[in-house]
Amino acid sequence: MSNWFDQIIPMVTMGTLETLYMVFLAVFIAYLFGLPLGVILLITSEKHIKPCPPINSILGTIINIGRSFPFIILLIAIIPFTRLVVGTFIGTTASIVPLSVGAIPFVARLVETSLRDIPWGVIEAAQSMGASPWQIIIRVMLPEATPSLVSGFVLTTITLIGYSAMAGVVGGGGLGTLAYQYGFQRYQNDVMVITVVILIILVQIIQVVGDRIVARLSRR
Amino acid sequence: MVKIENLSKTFTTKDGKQIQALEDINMVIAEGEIFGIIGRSGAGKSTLVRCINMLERPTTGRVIIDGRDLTAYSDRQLRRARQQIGMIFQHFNLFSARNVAGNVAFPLEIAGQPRRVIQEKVKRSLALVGLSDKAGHYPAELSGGQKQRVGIARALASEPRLLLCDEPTSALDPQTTASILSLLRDINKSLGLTIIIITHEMQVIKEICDRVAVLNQGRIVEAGSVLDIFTAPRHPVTRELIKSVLDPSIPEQVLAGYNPAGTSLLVRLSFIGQSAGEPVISRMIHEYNVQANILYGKIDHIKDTPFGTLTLELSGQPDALNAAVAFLQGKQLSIEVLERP
Repeated sequence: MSNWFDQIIPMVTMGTLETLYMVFLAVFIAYLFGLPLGVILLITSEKHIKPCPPINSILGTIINIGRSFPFIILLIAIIPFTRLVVGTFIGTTASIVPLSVGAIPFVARLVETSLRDIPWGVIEAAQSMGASPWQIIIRVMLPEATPSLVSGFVLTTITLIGYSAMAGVVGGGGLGTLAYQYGFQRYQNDVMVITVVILIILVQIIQVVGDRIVARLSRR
Repeated sequence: MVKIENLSKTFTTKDGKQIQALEDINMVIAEGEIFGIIGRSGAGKSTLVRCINMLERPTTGRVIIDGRDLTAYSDRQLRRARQQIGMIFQHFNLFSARNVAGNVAFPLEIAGQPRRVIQEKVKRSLALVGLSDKAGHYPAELSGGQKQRVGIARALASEPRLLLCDEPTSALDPQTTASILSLLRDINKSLGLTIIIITHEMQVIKEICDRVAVLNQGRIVEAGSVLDIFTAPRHPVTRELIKSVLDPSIPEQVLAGYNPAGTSLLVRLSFIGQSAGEPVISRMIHEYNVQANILYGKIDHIKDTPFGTLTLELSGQPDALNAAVAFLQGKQLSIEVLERP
């Protein structure tokens, strides 16, 4: 039992914090790039506010390629890039790079879908009042799609928790590393069980809180 | 105020086919009038109204508003011009994330007006449509009629001189339709606002329009004052549309009881406005020695003008009948000799 207090609890606490650190930073970076890309993807499409077929098809293709990479392959494939950015490819900070890169195309598509759901008439109304494309994006599209964007944010966060465990297996830190090194390689079933339970709890909390926020934001 | 010259619009479909939505449209809309554009669905009405504020760029032709040719404008100039043209829609198109006041404030915000001015104008605009008490509500909490009132308040917030209405009452029940139409009429009078209304409902034209253009398959087939169009429609499409609001045919029950004997004629008289004052029928009976049997009659209002129709059976000698018809034709009313049923 002393083993629990001396080792397992501090280890698991550390692992949880590392996972949260990786995931939230990665989600942040993914939205930093994914949100504008999603907007561009939509507005450059045919008959939208800034149609531009070349940009639209090039961007669409890149995003599709990005999305078709299995995450575990991406993790290894971009090691040189990770090294370039962080200096190493092992550890929690290093994991943020593949997590973000993997999530950017995912986020871009989610954002595009959320924004596409806004009735066209609403955008047309803004145009009829003389709004510029920029004003339409900032003052109409993003506010109108906020509940749906938040749902997408929740989905992305939960997906990245799963991905972060994969990153953990190849030395990325967090709960994934813990489960793999102690639970799997050293047959410590209790560690395995507790990491799984913590992951379940994390996902639950994020989903429930997210749903509440979405419900509060919904005005339709 | 608005002048449309030789306007055409052609769409190209994905497989390269050309679809002509509008063909050689010409019209002039005067300052302060309510101008209706009516047609069946697919006639090109929506495209036409969108060509007026360039939400759709016409393929050829010009749209001149207050002497300025909008077709020659750059995007930036157009956005400026659009701030002076209000527009309302069939499905209201309110911003669901903004409350009523926020919706009305939108055109002022994008025009960069200072906050105090915005508050002032939002207040005034909401008072105009009678929704001052709903400023803090969200669109989802409002009825259809209230939503359209918000739409109108939003369109009027920036004090435009022209209001475009795209099927403004088509999603509303008859009672709400009437209240929205009377609101449009009030603002037309009190603000001197020019209004262009697109609709497929002849009722709307009849209630509030001064002039009307009938659109069919992308072309204007008939245009003129509403009174003229209603009393003397020339195109079959117009007749069909009018029938829905002013059905001139005699009800079956009346015809069932109609038993012609001897020489008689069935005539329909239409009285417009003032001519309803003169005792024509009684003079005809006295002077031409014919009998008149009233079969059917009704009175309608076209905007503010009373418009009555009366179906009579005239009997008497053939010569007397002809003279009586000639007498009626000489009066300021329209007469139509109907076929025997």
